Amino acid sequence: MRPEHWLYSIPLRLRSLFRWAQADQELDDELRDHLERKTEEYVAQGMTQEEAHRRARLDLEGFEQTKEKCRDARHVTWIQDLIQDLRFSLRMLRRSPGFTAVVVLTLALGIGSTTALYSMVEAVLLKPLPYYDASRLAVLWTDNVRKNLHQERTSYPNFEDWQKQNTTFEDMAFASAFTVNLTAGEDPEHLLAGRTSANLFSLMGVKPILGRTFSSEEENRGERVIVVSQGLWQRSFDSSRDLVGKSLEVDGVRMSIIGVMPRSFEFPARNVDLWEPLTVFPNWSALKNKRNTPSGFVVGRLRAGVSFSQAQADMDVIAAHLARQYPELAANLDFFGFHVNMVPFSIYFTGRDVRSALWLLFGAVVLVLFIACTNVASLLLSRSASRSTELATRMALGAGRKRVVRQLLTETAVLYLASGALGTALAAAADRLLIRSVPTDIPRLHEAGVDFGVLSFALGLSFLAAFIFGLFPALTAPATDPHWALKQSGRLFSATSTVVRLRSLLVTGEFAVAVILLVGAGLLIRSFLRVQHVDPGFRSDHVLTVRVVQSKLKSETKWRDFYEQALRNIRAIPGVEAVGAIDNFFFASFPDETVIVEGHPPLPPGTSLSQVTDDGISPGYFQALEVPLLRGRFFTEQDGPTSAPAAIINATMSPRFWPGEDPVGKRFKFAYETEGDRWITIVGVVGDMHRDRLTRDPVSEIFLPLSQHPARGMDLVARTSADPRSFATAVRGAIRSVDKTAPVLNVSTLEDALRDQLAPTRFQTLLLSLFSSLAVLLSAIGIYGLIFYSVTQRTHEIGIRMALGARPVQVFRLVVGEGGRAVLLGIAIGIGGALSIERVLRNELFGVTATDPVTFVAVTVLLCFVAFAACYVPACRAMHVDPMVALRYE
Amino acid sequence: MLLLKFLALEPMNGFAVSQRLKQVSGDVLQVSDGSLYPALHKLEQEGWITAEWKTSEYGRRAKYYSLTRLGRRQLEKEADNWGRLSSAISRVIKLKEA
Repeated sequence: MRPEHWLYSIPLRLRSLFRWAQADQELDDELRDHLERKTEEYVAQGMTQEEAHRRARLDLEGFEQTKEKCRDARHVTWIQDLIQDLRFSLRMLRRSPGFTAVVVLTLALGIGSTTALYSMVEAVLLKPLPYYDASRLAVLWTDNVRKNLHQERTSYPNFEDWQKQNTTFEDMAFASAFTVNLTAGEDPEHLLAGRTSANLFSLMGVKPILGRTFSSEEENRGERVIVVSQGLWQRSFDSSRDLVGKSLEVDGVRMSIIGVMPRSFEFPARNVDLWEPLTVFPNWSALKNKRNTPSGFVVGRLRAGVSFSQAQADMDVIAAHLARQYPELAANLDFFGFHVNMVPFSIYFTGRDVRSALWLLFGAVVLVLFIACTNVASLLLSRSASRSTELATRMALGAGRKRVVRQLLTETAVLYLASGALGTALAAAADRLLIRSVPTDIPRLHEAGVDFGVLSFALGLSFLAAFIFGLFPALTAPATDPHWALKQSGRLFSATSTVVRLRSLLVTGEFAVAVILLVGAGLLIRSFLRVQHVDPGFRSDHVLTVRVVQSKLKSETKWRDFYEQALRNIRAIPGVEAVGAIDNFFFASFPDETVIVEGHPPLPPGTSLSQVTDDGISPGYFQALEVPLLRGRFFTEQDGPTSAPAAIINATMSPRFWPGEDPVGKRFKFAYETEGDRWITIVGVVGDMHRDRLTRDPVSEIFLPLSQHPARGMDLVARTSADPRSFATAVRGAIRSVDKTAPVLNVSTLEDALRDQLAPTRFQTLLLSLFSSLAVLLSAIGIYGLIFYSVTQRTHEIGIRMALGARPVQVFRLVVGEGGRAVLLGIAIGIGGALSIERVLRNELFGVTATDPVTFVAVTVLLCFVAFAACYVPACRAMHVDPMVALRYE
Repeated sequence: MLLLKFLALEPMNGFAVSQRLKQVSGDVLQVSDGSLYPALHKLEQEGWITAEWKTSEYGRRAKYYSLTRLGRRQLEKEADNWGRLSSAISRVIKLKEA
């Protein structure tokens, strides 16, 4: 329609809408005027006054009818109808507050939980990443096929070749992440830093919020310039606008600040606080030519229109080319290879686990919503059935079928919208609660909240649900022949059978969904219990852990001396029973070292069976954690820097590398030590520890004495006689007294640290359990409502049956059997469904299979029991129907 | 279209339109009063005619409809269409006779 047209019609419509009475009066005047004139005309033709009036009315085809037609011509009746319907709906709902409350609460729970989870899904997965056209960004890992390590860093020469030879990327940037100490202030700060190629910032399409980023000229000249993060800017510089030009001492080197990057810029790692040119590396000139030293992450921007698989194919060609160009490197067993593994940036950013966990939970919550809606539809269905007299009366008085359906839909929509509003409020509260209780390492989760997208989701959801589930009652009700329904007045057999059939269908659906949810939750709970009962291999109570990272500028000897002194100081604190240190308490990686065992053929690399991890530890470490010694001895002070190289291995490694032998006294060396002949002698075997997640099988581990393998950063563990938390200050002081510039990080108890590791699993299990309990509760209400309704409607029939000699038990069986069929069918369908989603769950489980029979049987029994209990009360009622009362009940 | 044409000649009220219809078309076009008013209201809603309350020649208050600019354009369009259609039809009819 043309805008001109609107110019005329809108004011008219508004007028008809808001000055309704006036418009109607005018219409009345107009027609009355017409009638009078017509009458006058007929009178003039010689008719009597009455006759003339009658003729005039006849000509007009009924005064009121014409008025109605004129109103229709104005196109506003639907709005008026809507308002009328709304008013009527509100009145109806107010009249049955119990019904309204049940419906609104049920729906609000469903919509609320769905909305809350949606807000998380939106924040974490759907919102575009804060980079320019992030869908074209990819992270390129070196794929070490031989060692089964697929996300490895890349060496700079390889990066340069990729950058030069590819045809599918606009640009590629190189960045390495490492930790630095800010050494200027009183309290040394330990930060994550990135050293990057200058093009990183433009490639990601992020501009600094203050100052500028460094140029490739500055990079080439090796200038000491840095860009700091918004967080660091606020923390250390009070967001001062004249930051640019100031300097910062990083690991003892003065760097001048040239810009500030926004908080959202998180590459190469999350929480990175400053960026320097690659050339700041002290050994850069050597590093940039070392093809077998992987040192950085590579990120690339695809050319427009190039797909990820095209780019991967391009990179495969380059990899093959490089392998031909450097055959001796490619043949080296310890070289990481030339293969490239491309990952879309969004997946790299969020992590696959988080993605699948969130989608899983979202799927679960949608199922809960489905059950809630089904219940409500079922309730509405019976309600409209008991209103069939009212509806029949309406139809008899001339209401069109469409009009009645519309009115019923309006009522449903009112219910759903009210619930949607309440649900959104619930979601907002739940968000805040969930974000606080959620494991914090999910990127962008803290941004979840009720915003426009979430609101429209909730609104759309409410409307969609109202429409789909509102149609059930709306379509069945007016199908009743008004004539018949009116005659039946009050008994309403007519609707009953259809309604009961539809409701049993809904109950079947509910139970099917409940089975799926319960099986999912049951499996997760069983798996979680298994995880908690895993023996970690050490005693975690009464242990305080502290991480210390020293300056890179110190020598290895200094590092060692520092830790030895710090451990002595901590040991001297009264109440500390034992101390130890390990370079990385927790690790989450695939074992990556290969070893050559003296007198044995080398094992084929590439599996977790043939590869090992190695860690430096202090002599007291195993004693502090009470790890059992199986053979040989622990390290002592005698295993000094100059004494014979010694190692302790774990129980898993022993049979793999020395099958059927006693490994103590045997020798091995690391494959990377190609020159020299540094054989290491095994002095002891200890029990396995679960230092990676508890769900992983232990891997082969080699422990080396700290004195022979000094490390820059170490986790210190102290076994205390009382609550380890009360020792935090003393331990910190003991470390500071050795070197006050060494940052002390992550002071926590070992138990807390372990609990944090399980937090995501616990969270997921908890939520899914919550959802499935909700599902069971709602399904129980559903079946209870169905049986209760059917019994009420059939009181008359039951009365006749009993009068004819049916025994109460038979009646009971009749009633329960009806619900039972629906439930059993639902459970059967649900089990089928649960078996088919087994694939989704498999990766989330530990120690149970996704088809675990115990869970399936338990769920079936539980649901049958719940269903029976829900049927029992109304069935008992049916049993005690007095035939006389029932027959008189008219 | 007929209503538009009448109103294009001069603004008039509903009664006058019905009189005029009867006069002009005799009994060929039977537009009942019952259909006339809804039709007028529809035209008003479309924005082709506009209405105002005036006092008539006999001192009665009546609702007078008149054509709008939009309505005039619509009338031209419809008259055009009608002209084309009727001439086409009459050509076809003559063709048969020949």
